[in-house]
Amino acid sequence: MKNRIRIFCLILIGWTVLAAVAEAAAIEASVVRIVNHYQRGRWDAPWGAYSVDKRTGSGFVIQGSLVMTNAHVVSDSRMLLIYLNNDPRPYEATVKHIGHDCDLAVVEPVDKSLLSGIPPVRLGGLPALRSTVETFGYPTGGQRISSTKGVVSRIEMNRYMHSMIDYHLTVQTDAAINPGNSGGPVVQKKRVVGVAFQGSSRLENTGWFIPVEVIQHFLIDIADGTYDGFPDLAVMFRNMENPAYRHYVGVKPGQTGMIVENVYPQGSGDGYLEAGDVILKIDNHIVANDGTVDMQGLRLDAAVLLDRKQHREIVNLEVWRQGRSIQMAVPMAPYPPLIRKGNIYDRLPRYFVYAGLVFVPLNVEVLKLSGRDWNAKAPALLRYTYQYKSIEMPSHLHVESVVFLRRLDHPVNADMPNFKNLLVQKVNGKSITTLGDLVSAIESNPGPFHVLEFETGIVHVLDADKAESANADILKQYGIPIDRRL
Amino acid sequence: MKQVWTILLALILIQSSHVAMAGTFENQVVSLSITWQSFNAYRPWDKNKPGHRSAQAVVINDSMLLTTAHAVSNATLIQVKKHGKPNRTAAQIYHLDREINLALLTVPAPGFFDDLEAVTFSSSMVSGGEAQSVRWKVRQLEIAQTRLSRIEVVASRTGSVQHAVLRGTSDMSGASAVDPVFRDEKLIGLTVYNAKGLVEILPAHTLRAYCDMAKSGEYRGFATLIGLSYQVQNDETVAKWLGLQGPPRGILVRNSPYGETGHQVLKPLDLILSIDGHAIDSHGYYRHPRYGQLHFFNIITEGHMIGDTINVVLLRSGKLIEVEMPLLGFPLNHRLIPYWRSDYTPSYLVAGGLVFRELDYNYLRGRGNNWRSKADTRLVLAWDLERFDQSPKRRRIIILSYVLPDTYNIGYHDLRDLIVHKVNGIQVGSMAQLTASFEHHHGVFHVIEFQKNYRRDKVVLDAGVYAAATQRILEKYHIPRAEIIGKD
Repeated sequence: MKNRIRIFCLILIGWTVLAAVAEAAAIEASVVRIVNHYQRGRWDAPWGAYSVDKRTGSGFVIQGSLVMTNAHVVSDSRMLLIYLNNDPRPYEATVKHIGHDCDLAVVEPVDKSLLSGIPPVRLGGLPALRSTVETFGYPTGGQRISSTKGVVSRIEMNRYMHSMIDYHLTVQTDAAINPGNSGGPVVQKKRVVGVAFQGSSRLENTGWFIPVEVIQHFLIDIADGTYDGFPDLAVMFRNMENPAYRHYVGVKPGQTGMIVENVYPQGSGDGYLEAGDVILKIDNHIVANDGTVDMQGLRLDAAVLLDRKQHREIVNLEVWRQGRSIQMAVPMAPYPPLIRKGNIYDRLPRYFVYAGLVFVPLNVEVLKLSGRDWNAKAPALLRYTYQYKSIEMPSHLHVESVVFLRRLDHPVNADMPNFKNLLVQKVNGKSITTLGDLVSAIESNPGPFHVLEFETGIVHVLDADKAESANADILKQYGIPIDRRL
Repeated sequence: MKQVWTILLALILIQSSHVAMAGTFENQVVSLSITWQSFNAYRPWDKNKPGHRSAQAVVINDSMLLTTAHAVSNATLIQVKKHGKPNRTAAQIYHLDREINLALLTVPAPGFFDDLEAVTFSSSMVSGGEAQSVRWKVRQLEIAQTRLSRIEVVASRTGSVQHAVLRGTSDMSGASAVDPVFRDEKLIGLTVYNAKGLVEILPAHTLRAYCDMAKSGEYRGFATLIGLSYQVQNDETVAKWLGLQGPPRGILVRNSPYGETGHQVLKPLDLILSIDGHAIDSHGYYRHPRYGQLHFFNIITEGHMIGDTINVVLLRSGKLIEVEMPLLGFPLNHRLIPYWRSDYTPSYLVAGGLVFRELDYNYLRGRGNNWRSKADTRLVLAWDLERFDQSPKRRRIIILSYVLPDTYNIGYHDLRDLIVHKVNGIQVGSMAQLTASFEHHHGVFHVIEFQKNYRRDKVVLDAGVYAAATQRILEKYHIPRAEIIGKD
């Protein structure tokens, strides 16, 4: 009898091991290595570009003979190659869709039949806390697939570092997520439950993956052939934990919610919500005073419900305003002023060079020219304008501040004080709110001088005739192929 | 052989001259031992651990000692040692001006000055060559070579006055807040900076002017243009556009802050061509009769004091005009964000556990040497962009420093470093306004509004239990008083 039990146990163990091996093998077959030869524009010399560099990451085959990966793996691509498991040959591919706000992308091989023999992965759901997950990928540029196991330790909204400004749901795990793992699948019970995407140099054994909820949002978004991005209510919410605050806004005892402090112009919430409103429910989910909602036993930031919406989809809100409850259906849309605050990929810098003066729009790439510690070292007025002005003066959200980046020395401008990184306020008496405004203020000026006024009170004056005749010479001398990219 | 004798003779001569100099300086230089204590930037009701610093002072006429204001800042006890002896005698501050960074001390002990001798101020400022830095160190007088290289105009390290300094290198090592520097046994200045062998010396003519003014009993102080922003103007096109005849010259005014010398007189786009009869070149320099090219800020300080009026020639809207410019000081309390404050009790208010105070440099600098990276970004930007911009309605930036957690202020515990905009509907531009807006409010709630930010714009507190909650929080966190509001 004992022998029979022993044999049964051995068979069971053997079957379990074989099943696990088969399961891993099936996943491994779907995991690809991605090599991206990328090139970024130069923000300090915006007509040029940096040298081509190489970045490696991982991806996995999904429905439609496509490969899913992270946006940060394939951004700024000039030549994209994928390597299938156990196949040394490189296959050229292109980026079909990319979502910089959610750090996801799908890649399509140039040979559209390449992936036809590889089974696409199946997507799972949100893994339970403390459950085990396994990551697959090609960490640190290795050419052989690697997998590591870890435990789901936290599920919460978190910053997506690729764009730097977006917050979506993330899952934290102690499975090793190293450079090169990015874009690889995180698997539980034969199903993909996430895409590995970022780690932390400050924390040990801590990595994050993008959960299926966000992946599905991206896939549904691109189903019509274009990527719209995550909508944003464009409203600033605050907790309402303080009893005096609840009393102040007049909610009834037992009512909970979060307070609306700011509604940004032309955002989804504009025209619906008002400062001082209390959001009681989102899509019938009760919002707690700390701004969270109950999602199948997990307390998550209420924004997770807004994140589920697609462009033009409706979010239903129950709002407390001046002593009564109001129901409202708000159509959701992305908020471009916020998107413009993020890191810039897949686009070359915009600029205008006139009489050796280089003008660019203010964005984070311009600030990053001050180095890794740009948050402390970039010129103060540029930092203030980028980080705080639109918060303190929401009307400024839709203004594209223009920066006089630097001077290309030439006799026509050599006697100007060598100021740089100045915000342009007026040119020839006209207020400047876009790079286009600046070009038109210069090109439509019939006067003998071009007068440039900056926000700090600094003034530059150019002799219009001399500036015009120096332009071609300056462009040639500094190797600038064209004076503008608007 | 002859050469050896020559070298030996030279060495003996050098040694004997040092001995002779040491004899003179022993009676003119005393050492100060200062115990000091400042307030904690984050617990403004608490003082920090007392510290100790050493400095030098020189004896001047009328039985007084001259040193820097920085040396005696935040002093709780000043003691003097003379002739390198260990006996200490208490000294007192007779006069102190942080704006120029100088102080006069007296020593009440009878006969203290009997065996001391006043220094002789050098009558002309030297701009190069060798000098001797002098310091009492372990009961001996140390005399180190100091090499002067140039004269520059800089802002005082403790205040707003812009003045000429001598710059150079020194062999004097180790910490001392101030060392006197001599040449030919005459005092040419006091060091106001000494680090890594580089020294900055406040010259004798400024020391003399300060001493004369302080002892006169009618101290007016030194004027300044510290908040004036301008651009150099070397461009022919700009000159033509402004309507200036002849080559480019003068400096172009951008802004002069409220309360400062230039505020009432100068306007943006004024081209300053001369000040007090000195022509200003296109980079803001003028020809000093003795020292050559110096920055025009020196005209305001040298030979003038607050209350004097000087003549300024401007090109305004294409026309040459002459204006009279009354000279004003711009003390630290005229700034929206005061620079290093010492010898002051910080104003604060603990309201329902919310700790409010003025934003000043001490608060930002409290984050350590790397304060620009560690302090709140918005507050650092306020320092960078607004520190001079005081106005009658907005004398200070008032901040919520942080919250002392309690059930009363639940929901707000993580708030910190927020700029206060209004309290109970009243705009807040000073600590006095802040406390008044709490005290004179009789509504059901206290509503605190902050300048819009990423964390929270509005805090509401229950006014009915505010006093009791504040008292409970004070007791819980061992805070002796809910508020201290200085006179500033």
